Amino acid sequence: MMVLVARGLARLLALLLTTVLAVAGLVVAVFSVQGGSATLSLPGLVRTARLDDLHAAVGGLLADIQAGGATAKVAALTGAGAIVLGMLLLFGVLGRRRPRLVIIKADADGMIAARPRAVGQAAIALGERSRDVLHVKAKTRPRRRGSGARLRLTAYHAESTDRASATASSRSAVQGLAESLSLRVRVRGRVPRRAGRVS
Amino acid sequence: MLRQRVRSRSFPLARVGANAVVVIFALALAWGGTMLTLLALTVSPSTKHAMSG
Repeated sequence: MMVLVARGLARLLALLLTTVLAVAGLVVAVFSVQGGSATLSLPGLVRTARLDDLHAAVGGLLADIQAGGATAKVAALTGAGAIVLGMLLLFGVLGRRRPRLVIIKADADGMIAARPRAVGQAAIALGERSRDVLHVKAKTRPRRRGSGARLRLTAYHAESTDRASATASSRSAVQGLAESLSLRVRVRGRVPRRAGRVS
Repeated sequence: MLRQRVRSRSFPLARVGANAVVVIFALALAWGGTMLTLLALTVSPSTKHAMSG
């Protein structure tokens, strides 16, 4: 209870402080758009921020870059890095993220979902019940839209066992799970590289 | 039995606002990087003016 009160107080204070900061910034900006030599004026801001010195420094740097040499190489690399970073940021914001949950049911009342790892472990437990299978690996990828997921099972079987029967038995073992969770199952059979070592 | 309610979605307007700020920053960064690279590669001023608008 105490933590909740403290958290609420902190949030309220953060909201108040940011609002006050925004209003203060707005007031300074409005009063700064004027001539003259007062503190809150454009010439005053230029003096405060030492923009004339900055202008001279940037002008010198741009002249050095244009002249070529080591400065130009460093600038070209920096520019390329900025472009890559910008593209990365755009991709991070606009790129669609794969959903982290397997949605089982979603309606107006809410959503029932499962973690992909848990679904995979359930599929492994069911798939390994078959006598034809030594070991099962599962990879679950939730669908981007709607419910369900894609479940890829790898059934490791002995060399003496028929691959088709091993995959069929694994598929039938997870059939119930797949139907209840709307999973699209893909099973492939594989013989482990070394006998007795499958993981 | 305790039942915990988990809030899994953030306020949509805040998310859109934050994304817009990052997109503007990213575009500015890419534009600045392009201009700096063009300057360093001594591209002709007319091309630079055409690209920067």
